[in-house]
Amino acid sequence: MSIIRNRKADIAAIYERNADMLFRLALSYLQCSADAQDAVQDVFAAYLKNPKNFSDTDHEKAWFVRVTVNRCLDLLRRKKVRNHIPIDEIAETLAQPDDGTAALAAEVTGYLAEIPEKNRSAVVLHYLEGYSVEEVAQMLDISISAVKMRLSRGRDALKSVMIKEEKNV
Amino acid sequence: MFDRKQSAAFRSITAPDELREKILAMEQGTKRKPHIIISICTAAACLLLIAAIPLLNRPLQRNPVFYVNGTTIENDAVLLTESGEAAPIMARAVPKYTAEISAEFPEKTVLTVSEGNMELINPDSTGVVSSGTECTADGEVLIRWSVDIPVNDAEYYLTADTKGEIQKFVLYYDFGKSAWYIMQENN
Repeated sequence: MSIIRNRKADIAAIYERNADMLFRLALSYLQCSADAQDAVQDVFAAYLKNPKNFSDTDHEKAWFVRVTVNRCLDLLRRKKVRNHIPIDEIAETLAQPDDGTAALAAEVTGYLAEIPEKNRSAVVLHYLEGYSVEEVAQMLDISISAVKMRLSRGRDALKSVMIKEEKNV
Repeated sequence: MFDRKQSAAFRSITAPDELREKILAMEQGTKRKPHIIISICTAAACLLLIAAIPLLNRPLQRNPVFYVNGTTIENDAVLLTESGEAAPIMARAVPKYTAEISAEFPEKTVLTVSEGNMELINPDSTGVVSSGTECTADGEVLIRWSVDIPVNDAEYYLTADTKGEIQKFVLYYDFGKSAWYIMQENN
């Protein structure tokens, strides 16, 4: 489906299609709602500054995902993030606020923080956002085998974290 | 890995409304930005133009240059003749004195003499272009200006009008030095 459009006309539509997913992805890296907002805002600012002609929504999504991941890694490298996940913060960002859901969402986000940064985006996109391995490969612009490798390493990291958590409980 | 509840809880996280507002505001900002830039550029261009007008006017309204024997006629008197030549004392034999002044006119200039007669000569063809007490000159011209030999002190004036820019020259005989001189008067 071709969706080459005027950027001014479709910025709201692009936001609706991608912002929530990008925000969650950024949250998984930055572990802070305010930092995640800043990262996503920076990505849209980059798009507005230098608009792209996307061939379709997949192309569009892939660009936004890659730029968001890069922006998050950049912020982490500069250590300009607060790096914490207050449950209250997560609750404020829920579509339908609920104490149990907020706690669970915060827990998941906390687990993601334990996955090596290189593997994190693949885990979020595949296991949580529901994209296929092929789609993740396209979004991250890496091979399918590389995605599988990252998912495998991500799973291993999660297992060890979860086992530690169970022992502590 | 994550179970359904965990996945659903994670996906229930949405971008805050304020983020949407910020991004849409940014878009509005980028819409307005070109207009602001255009306005600033226009203002800057106008200021530059205003500043450049005097500079532009100079070459456009270059004044004519008058010179005698290669010397530009300015505020210092320039000797036209050797001592005794065409002096008033010889006026009985030579009733008139003719001053020869070379000139270059970048633009059309109206020349007027207060006394006598003026001839404009094309220096290449040596032909008379025009004559009288008022002539229009353009380009390179030789001015032959004939005046009566004065008995007493007298001054004759040549006025050049280039689009309202006036230059005035005074021709006179210096009895002390027994020589004719010409100089530009201060405006």
